[in-house]
Formats: sequence, C-alpha cells, structure tokens
Amino acid sequence: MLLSSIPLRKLKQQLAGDGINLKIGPFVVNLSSSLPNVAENLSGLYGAYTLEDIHRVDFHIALQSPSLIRRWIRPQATFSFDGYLPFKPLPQTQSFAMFEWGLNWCVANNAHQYLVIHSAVVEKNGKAIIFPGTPGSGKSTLCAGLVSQGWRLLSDEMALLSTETGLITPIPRPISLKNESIDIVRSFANDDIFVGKPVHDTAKGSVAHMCAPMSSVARSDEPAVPAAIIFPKYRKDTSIELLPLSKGRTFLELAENSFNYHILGSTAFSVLTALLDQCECFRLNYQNLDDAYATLGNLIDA
Amino acid sequence: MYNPVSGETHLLEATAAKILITIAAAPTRYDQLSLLLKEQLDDVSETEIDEYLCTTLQKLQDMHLISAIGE
Repeated sequence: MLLSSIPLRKLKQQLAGDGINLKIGPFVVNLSSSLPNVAENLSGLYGAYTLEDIHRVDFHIALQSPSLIRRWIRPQATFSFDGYLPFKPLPQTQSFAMFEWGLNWCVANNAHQYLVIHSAVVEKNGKAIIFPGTPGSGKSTLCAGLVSQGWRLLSDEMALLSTETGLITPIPRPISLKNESIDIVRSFANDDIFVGKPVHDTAKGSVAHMCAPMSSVARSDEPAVPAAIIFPKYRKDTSIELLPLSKGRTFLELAENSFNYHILGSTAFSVLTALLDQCECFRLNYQNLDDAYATLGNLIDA
Repeated sequence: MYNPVSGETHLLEATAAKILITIAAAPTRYDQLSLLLKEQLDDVSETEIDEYLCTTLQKLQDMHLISAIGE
C-alpha cells in the first residue's frame, strides 16, 4: 500500500499512535510523531513509498516535543532513534529536515552490510555515476538537475555499496537543496518536479526538499552497476571541465568520504578496489546545470 | 595498500610498492634492493637510486610497514 493512499487525517492518527512502517530503499523505518506538519510533509514527499505491514523494522524513529512547554513557547522538536536522542532539539519548523538528517545518521552508523560513501548517485542507461562531495561542492544541485531531466535517482546523500556484490543499492529519498540551489533547480527542472517550501535559518541556511521521482522510488529494489566516479565542484567563475583523476587519488578521497571505511577495514579496501577497477574517475568543475547535463550525458552515451 | 595490523590505507607509487612486496616476501638487505632497482632503472644514476631508496625505505618505516633489523 502506498503512503499516498492513506487520508491525511488517518495518517496523523497512525503517526501519533504506533507510527507507520515506511519502506525507504532497503530499510523499513518506523516513524511516529504527533508534531504538526510531519504528516503533511510525508504526504508531499513520501507519497510514492510503500507502507510495510511487517514486524521487521530497521530503525524506530520518533519526532516529538522535548517537553510540554516547548509545544507552545518557541516550539522545538527532538529526534529519537530506538529511544536514544543523538541530537539537540531544533526549532519545530525544522522537524522534517531533522528527520532527513537523522535518517542519514541512522544509516551511516548502522548499515555496515554496505560500504557507505557520502555521495549522490544517479543512473542512466544502466550506468551509475557516483558524485562524492563535501557540503557545498554542488553534488545535490547536480544530482537534482540530472534527476529532474529523467536520470534515475539512487541517492542524494549516500552510496550504499554492497560488500557482497559491489553493486549500488538504491535509497532514493527527497533531495536536500540549500540556499541558492533551490532557485537554480526550480528554474532548471521540468514542471512536474515538486520542490517543497524552504525552511529558513537552519544550520545549513535555507533548506527545501525536492521529491524523488516516482519512477526512481518504484525501482528501489533494483541495484545499479557503478560506471564512473566524479567529484563535482560548483564554481561561479569557471567554464565546464571534466578532468581525469588518478585511481590512487580517487581511492583515498573515497575512503575519506566514507562513513564506515574504518569499521569495515579490509572488506572496505576490497570493495573500493573492485569499484575502481570498473569505474572511470573524474573531477567536474561546472558553472551551470545545462553544461553539466550535456557533458555527463555525452559521457554516459559514449 | 591496506595494512591489516593498523587498519590504515596507504597510497604507494609503483616502485615503492615493488620494494614493499620484495621485503614482505623475505627480509632483504639494502644492497640487494639497490641492485634490484639498478637492474630495472638503467637510465637512472646510482646516486639518484640511493637517494630514492633511502627516502622510500624511511617513508615505509614511518608508515610502520617495514622495520630495519640487524646492522
């Protein structure tokens, strides 16, 4: 059953009770919350996701008020994972962004059946491109731009590399856009792409989420074959450049961008070695999405 | 290369990796390594090879990948 098939009032009731079991990529997340706007945000951004009627849950997440007073005076929200509060409360207006950030944290710290690399991943013609990047590199903007033009979204935030197969497991979720990239993507994307209302004054500035395409969510169980690793860099003063990168340097940068390389040890080393054997590696400097879209399209079609 | 003892990963250039593989196979004397490099790098001077070998061995030792023993 899709989340969108539940009326909003019933969804609110379920969230305030035992919560809902939402299938997100390979994980089942139990989410409960009685905070305002959580149900509305879920309906807008997770409508295409399935609700699971099973008892296996990977992450129990609750978004709640820290105290009765904080429901009314400068309302705040807390994020709890299996009853543990890993973060300080945030203003309640940021509760949904907090869910997204918190879920990233849950996956990065617990899903060690994968080598988890901080990166966006998109796919076209059966070839997946991994865009590792630090915050501000422009990877989410690039990812959103490509996805808005029909590329398949595997993830905006993390590449899940199976330690058994080396394939990338999809975890398509809303794409987090920040500050000026919100308007850049809105003007580049097709009309059917939904970008939610921005939330202002977060630790990352203004944040808005772009809905993952239904077609990508529907293919959540189809792993992808990695074909290229590209480190993007958005620069206002540059023309487009796609520069080859050595595999040795790429290896070290991927290890640095991994959340659990140090935990997986020699297994992570083997996974990365196999990944680099099958991938081309580049650095991409880009100034606008039109040029990046054309360049990456040519690369994939070649 | 991955060091299972320390859990650290190191990026080595090809010749340094060959030196490491040689030493990993069996303890090797400095003059044996020097000879090996001279055979493979016939267009490089002896002085340059010695400088390179000293630097590389020190680097590998600093990475805790090899250790000096004996004389």
